[in-house]
Amino acid sequence: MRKNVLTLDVMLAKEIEYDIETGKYREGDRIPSERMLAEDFGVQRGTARSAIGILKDKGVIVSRERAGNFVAPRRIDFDLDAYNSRKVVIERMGISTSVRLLTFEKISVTDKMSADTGWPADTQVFRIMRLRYTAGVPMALERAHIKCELAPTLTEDDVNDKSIYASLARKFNEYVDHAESKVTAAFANGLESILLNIKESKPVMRYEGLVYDREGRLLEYFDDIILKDQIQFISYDR
Amino acid sequence: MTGKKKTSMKKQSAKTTYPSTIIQEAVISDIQEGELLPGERIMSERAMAEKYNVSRMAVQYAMKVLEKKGYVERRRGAGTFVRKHDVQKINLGDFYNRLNAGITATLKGSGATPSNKVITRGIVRADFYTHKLGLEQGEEVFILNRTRMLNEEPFALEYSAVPLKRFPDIEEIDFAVVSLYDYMESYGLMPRRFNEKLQIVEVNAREAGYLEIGEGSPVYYTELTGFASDGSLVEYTESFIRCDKAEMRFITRV
Repeated sequence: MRKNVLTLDVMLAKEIEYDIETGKYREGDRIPSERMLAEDFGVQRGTARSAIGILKDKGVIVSRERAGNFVAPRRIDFDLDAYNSRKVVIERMGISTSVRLLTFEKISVTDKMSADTGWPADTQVFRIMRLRYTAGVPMALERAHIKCELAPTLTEDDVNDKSIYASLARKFNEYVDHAESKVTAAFANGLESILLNIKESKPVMRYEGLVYDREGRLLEYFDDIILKDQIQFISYDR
Repeated sequence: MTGKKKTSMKKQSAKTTYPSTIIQEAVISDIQEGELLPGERIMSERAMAEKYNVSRMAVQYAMKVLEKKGYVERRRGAGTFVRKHDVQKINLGDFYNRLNAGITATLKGSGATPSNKVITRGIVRADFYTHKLGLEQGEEVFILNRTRMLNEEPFALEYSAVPLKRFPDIEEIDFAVVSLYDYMESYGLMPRRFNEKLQIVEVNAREAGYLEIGEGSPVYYTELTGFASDGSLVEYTESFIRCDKAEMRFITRV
């Protein structure tokens, strides 16, 4: 480096990230302590601390009390070029996933939902709230709203620890075609924080969308709250 | 859900009503009801602590959270103000669907006035960047760190890296005036195809400072690798984008 284009802590953070990406440290591995990093790279302890802070903010490493800093579990990749059920997406990465059904009810759409979806105010939907786990740990609160008219006899059993889309296809010949979605930041409310086991008001990812069937009919409106460190959206040029 | 579960949940959420939550809810409701207007100064922490009979610490914490949530804006020495909200967020999701070329073009398309502030720039040798750009170890990379401004306000913070050998005169270019993509196109090397990652992260103090938002606020974080039409890797950019200024919308086929 000829001049200080990037500060030392940023450069050190990049070095560590490089070591993670190229496999020197693998998922779950312990990262050397601040003192060791400072010695190895010939920087101040404060610089090493700051580098670790940068990587924690990025969700690349996680710290466990008294045990040190570890390479964070890989994020789940949601592919922006191929919509699929959450179950399929996660299992394809070799990670186990399950859902716990919290509520299954038939309701009329709320005013807000009506505005978001264009469904008239008296439209009946199945409101399905599920808590998704990956590798046994809560990852997302999933709130699906399926138009009753398109799946009149949907039951709890069809959505409890099963892919909703698989059930819709099997039972009603309803196939998902595409989704119009939006990714934003939100803050966990009381219920969300309890279910996802995080502090109230912590930032989370909100993933909302309208899902259309092959006939172009609006089949589903979903509104998920996802732990932000566990997910990323990707798009690869193929 | 069974009746039993419902009660246990209620109990738990009642337990989480801390003094700071009471303050947060009171301020949010005042904003929503129009008792407090955008730009209006909120009563002092001391006055609020007295009014709600809570500690100043609780008020302070509540204000920090409200700032993160985007309801208020704390200005050092001046107090806390209700945040003025932007009318329209800019959709950057199309960027991911490869419909255009660069943030500058997207922002211009939205009718806003974009500009850039260069924070740092220069040549770096680092394994991280050579790896990202598919270069040999030890090859030089030009780093451009910019704040992207929209109507004079910070919109995104970007760290772009390009291979120096493809752009030999890049050190002479004033990127406050010239768009990086326009410059790259002068070599016929503007990125045309991209690999992208999108996450939501909490900003650290440094990035928060450049973006003029509270430390720990959630922002969009994107990593973008760009390929020129000859297939060569010409750009690696990390961006921190303000969630209150932009949003990411997508259309995804099965």
